[in-house]
Amino acid sequence: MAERSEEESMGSRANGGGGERDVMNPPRIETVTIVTSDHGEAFAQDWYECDGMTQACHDTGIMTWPDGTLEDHEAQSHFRDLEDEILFGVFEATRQAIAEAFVRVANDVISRERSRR
Amino acid sequence: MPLPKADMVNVVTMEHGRQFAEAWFDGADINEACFKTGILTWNGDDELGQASALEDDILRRFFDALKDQMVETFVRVANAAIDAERLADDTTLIPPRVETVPVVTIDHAETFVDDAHRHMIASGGFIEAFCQTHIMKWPDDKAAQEHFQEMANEIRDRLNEETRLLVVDAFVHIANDVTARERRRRCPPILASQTS
Repeated sequence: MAERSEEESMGSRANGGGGERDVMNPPRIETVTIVTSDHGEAFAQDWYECDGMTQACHDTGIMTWPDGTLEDHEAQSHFRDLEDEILFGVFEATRQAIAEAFVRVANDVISRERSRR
Repeated sequence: MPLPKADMVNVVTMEHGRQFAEAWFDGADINEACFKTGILTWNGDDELGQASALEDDILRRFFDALKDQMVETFVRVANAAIDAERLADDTTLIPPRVETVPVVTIDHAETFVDDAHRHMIASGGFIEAFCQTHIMKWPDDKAAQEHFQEMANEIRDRLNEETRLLVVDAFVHIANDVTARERRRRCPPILASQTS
């Protein structure tokens, strides 16, 4: 009997083991049984806290960044406050829908993964 | 035989005047505002005709008496408001006003959504947030790791597609509120008078 490759072994283990079963390629990913609203809310929170959000808001150009002189520190601080207020408002208005969409999409992808043969 | 007369109050009081002014400024038709004061009441079509004619006479006299005063008041008040806006001293505003676009549009919001999506991919912010949910276990196997990444990317892109319009809409609405408030911000009256 020929030796099984390392990749086949891993795939078999990921598939629950058992030499008689077909090797799954790529190996199945272990997942939670069901994605819940807690997962969705945790994701939405981390999504909002990503640095990219601030940069994206800045990139829209809806507000002009004050000059970088010392006298403008107050203006720069105020600019950031306004930016934070916009991002927080967007987050508050969308967090529930983002969490729900995450639950729906992730459950769909994960259930497909579990049913993969 | 004389025509029936509409009922009238004995005297029109200041309270009637206030009711008329408030109804009129609240957007009622001027005849409707007069009716709401209750200074005239009637029964039947004959009395209605008589009351209407009297109401028209009252309103014509009212307008004749008020017209010049109203014109003069409008000119004075509107010029004062426009001058105050024109002469507002933004240099004393604390913190200094941040310049904004006049209107936040859908184009701005779409830039926000697209850039956020791009930054989250480039910075690894998405995958970090995704892994924090612990809905999938990071595998040891290299092929499985690629598959993990493909699944995460699919979730990311479908999520972006599903929530895009909602985020665009929220951004337009909220950013317009915040920037409009910033444009309207003025020195407090006391501070303005101290610096003038």
